[in-house]
Amino acid sequence: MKNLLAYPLTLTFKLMSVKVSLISIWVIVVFSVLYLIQDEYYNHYLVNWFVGALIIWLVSASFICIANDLRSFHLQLSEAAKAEHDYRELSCNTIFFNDIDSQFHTLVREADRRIAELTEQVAEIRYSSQQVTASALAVSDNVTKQSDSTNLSAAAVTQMSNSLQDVVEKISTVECSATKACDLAQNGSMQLNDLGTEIDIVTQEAAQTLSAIKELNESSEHVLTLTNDIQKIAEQTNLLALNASIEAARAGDQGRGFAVVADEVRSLASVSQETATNIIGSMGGVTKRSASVEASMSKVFDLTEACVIKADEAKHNLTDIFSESDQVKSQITVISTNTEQQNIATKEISKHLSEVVGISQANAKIAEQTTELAQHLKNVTSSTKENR
Amino acid sequence: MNLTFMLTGLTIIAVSLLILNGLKNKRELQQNRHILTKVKRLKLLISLLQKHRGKNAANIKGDQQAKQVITGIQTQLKPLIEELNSEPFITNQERWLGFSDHWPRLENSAANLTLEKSFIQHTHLIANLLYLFEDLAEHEHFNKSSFESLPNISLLWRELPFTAEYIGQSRAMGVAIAATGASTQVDKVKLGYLEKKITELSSTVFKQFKNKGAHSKEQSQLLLKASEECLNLTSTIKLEFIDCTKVKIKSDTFFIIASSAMEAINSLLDYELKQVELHLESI
Repeated sequence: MKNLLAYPLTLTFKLMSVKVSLISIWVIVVFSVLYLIQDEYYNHYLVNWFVGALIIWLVSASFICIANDLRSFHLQLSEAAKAEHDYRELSCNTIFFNDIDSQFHTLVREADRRIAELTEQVAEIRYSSQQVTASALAVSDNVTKQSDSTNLSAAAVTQMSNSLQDVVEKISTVECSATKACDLAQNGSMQLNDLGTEIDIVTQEAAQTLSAIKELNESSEHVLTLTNDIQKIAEQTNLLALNASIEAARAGDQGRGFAVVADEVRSLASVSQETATNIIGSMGGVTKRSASVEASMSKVFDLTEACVIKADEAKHNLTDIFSESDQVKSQITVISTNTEQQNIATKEISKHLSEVVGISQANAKIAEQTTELAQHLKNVTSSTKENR
Repeated sequence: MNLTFMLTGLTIIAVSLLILNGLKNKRELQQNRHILTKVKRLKLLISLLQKHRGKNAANIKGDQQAKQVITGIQTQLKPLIEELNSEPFITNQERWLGFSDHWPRLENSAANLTLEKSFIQHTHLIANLLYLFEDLAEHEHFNKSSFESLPNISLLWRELPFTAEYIGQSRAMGVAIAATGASTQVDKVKLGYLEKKITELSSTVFKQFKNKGAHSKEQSQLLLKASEECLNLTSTIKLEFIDCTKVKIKSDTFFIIASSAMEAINSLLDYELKQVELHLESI
């Protein structure tokens, strides 16, 4: 009934703009009243009734329209107050509050956009926090693994440090042995030097002996030559004594004394020859012995020369041994220094690894805390979204 | 006599009201058609700015070929902005005033900005215009109650343009990341979020389109194409940027994939805008 009463007015307002409608209605009213009051029915009860009814209708219809507008606006406000509203779904068929409705609609739209932007930001934070949680969990896992690995590495390095300590000790022993070997090689070299000198002297002596034997041989040869000459002289003397005997025999008694002398000369020649023969025989034995001695001395000389060569070689070898031992010694010194440094370094590494283990454990804790924080952030953003 | 005179007067008034109403409706229709043209021009402006953002990101990352494209886009933008500047409703909007103030500064300084700043400023500018796009449609009552034959009309002013915008953002980011060949954890998180948003928003849009309204063959094809392109883009983002240690995809290749998805969404939007236009012409 109410809506029926307001319908003509509502229709008018809907057909035209509010301003035009209001002006038109009031023009009609004023025009009608002005026209009617000039008429003969001025005081007619029908005119009064009509004007009165028109004014009452206009006022009532206007009130009904305003009440409808307010109801519609209220409904729109209720819709807008709902959490899951969509501003595009909000509609309000008002007659008098179109401008206000438009402003309200703009306000809701802008507010919804702000809310949408904030929701987007919250969603982004939520997504990011999920990623942070995942990353933190991965970091936590990795740090735990790293911590385990570092623990194992620390244990290995400690073991290595202990082994290196043993190696350092062994290398010290080896260094002592190398020093001793070096000294012994040096002593051996010096003794070989002395031996070489002595062998040189022996060689010289053997050479001198050999030379003396040669000289002796030459003298023996000369004696043999002289003995041969004596033997020849004895033969000629014997021949002369024989001739003298023959001549003494010829001379008879006068030559008897001469014959005795000739016999004596002949026996002397014979003794001389015999002696010369004995000398030759003895000289032959001397020559034989001398040749044997010479051969032996030659062998001795050769052996001493070979000994010199061998001693030289031994000397060279010992020099090489000394040189190598010296190098070994210096290298062992370097190795010893390096091992000592490595030992110190591994101890340092072991110490640092222990620190890293500590840091890793602290990191794992931080990562766990980060995970918790990210989870908290996620929960906060989730609850913010849910509360909306 | 007086009664007859009164009835005649009331009839004249009623006829005048009807004529006035007719004129009002005609004027509103013309205004609607005019604004729809501006809406389309505004959409083109947004598309060009999205392309400008993508190419500028590539330029900052050292893509020399992008410079020429940027100059071309800027040349296209000038007359478009001038045209929109002639529309009183648009020029009275704070969002447009903000754009008019921001764009000349960004146009001159975009090449010298850092990638992140360029991206943020372009995105802010585009978001501003996307809201203006929706405001313009709202102002002209391009909604369900005015267009009962187009039940998905509200999607045209918010969901579809924002889907295209998220694709544009992923294109700009992806192109820059592909140019460097390395994706940081932050890049992965940002792209992951965009991938999630594209999937969510496009699913909502496609679902609503499929559930409501009559489908023409052309619309079904456009929906299918857009759905496939979006799926291709999101899977590419996942495969090439998120679930990998090294970015191997080429900058140009990703630009083409993202642009295809964007074009598919824009084609759907253009098709629906055409339906609005046809509806207005049929009145």
